[in-house]
Amino acid sequence: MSTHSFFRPPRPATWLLEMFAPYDQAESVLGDLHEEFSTLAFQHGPRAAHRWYWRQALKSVAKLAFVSLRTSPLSVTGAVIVGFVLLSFVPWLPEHAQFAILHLIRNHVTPYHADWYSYVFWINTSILAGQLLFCLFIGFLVGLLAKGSEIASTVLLSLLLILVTGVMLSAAHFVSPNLHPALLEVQLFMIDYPIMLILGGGIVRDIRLTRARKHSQA
Amino acid sequence: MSSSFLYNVYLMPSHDFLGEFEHIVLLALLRLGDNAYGVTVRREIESRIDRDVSIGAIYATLDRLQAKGYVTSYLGDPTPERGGRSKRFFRVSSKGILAIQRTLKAFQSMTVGVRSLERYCT
Repeated sequence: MSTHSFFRPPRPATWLLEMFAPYDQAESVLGDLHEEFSTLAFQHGPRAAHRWYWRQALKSVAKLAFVSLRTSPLSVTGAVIVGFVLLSFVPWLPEHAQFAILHLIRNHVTPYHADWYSYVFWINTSILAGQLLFCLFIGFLVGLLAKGSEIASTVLLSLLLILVTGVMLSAAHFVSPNLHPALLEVQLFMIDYPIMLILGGGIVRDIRLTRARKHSQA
Repeated sequence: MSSSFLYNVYLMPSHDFLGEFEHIVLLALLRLGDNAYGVTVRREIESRIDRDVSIGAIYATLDRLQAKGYVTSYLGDPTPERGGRSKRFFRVSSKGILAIQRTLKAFQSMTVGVRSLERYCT
């Protein structure tokens, strides 16, 4: 067995680079890293090669993400604007839908009078789940619109969301310092929303990469 | 108006001088000739000026230089030591050579007569 097939670069680092690199550069970037990894693994051992590969991947991700944003500024800007507008629906659209469903169940499917606690539980859980799913959908849509920079544009949208929410929270805290418990809840959402947005973009990127691989193999 | 047009306008330099790293990368490409691709460019820079650069930084710079028309590229054949992936070879265009000359000339013009620098240069 040759050394090249024996030593394999760490998959998560390769995946990370695949997610952020522009489509036309991904193959050559990963090929270059693979080539140097094989040489290093043969000369200094797989552990040193793994460390080197991870360091290269982490140092390269931001640069490659910036390249992919720079190459398609119009589609990225459009996608981020659409995503940001849609995000303003997150606090109330899923909530209305959940209430409508629960209302239907309560009045037409399973009439209940005593099970108040389960009703409250489903209201709380389903609203949160609905909001997260809606964020995932927005991330998916932004990824579809920003072809070639799916992850970079959803990361950009997430940073914008964090910035705007942070400014609003600071302003609210400045105006009324007694709002702490409610603000804490909003801060928790600040962590969840960006994760779901990036996940949505990642799903689109993964589907497109798989398609591109199948296409090149064929 | 296409996005590539906007990209080129964004990258179009107000004066045609190269940045420090752009200059280094272009000189590395010239030194390597027909064997200039990511790995060799990175190693050349590392061995000549002892600067540890990431492959991402090299590709970001090459992408910028290509958009400015200073560099051209083509894909080679896939090889097993690269996990079946192809190499992208780079070449400096005539426009790129002019840019290198212009930047070198500007440096030389600025250096001549500066005594504190001449002491280190000789």
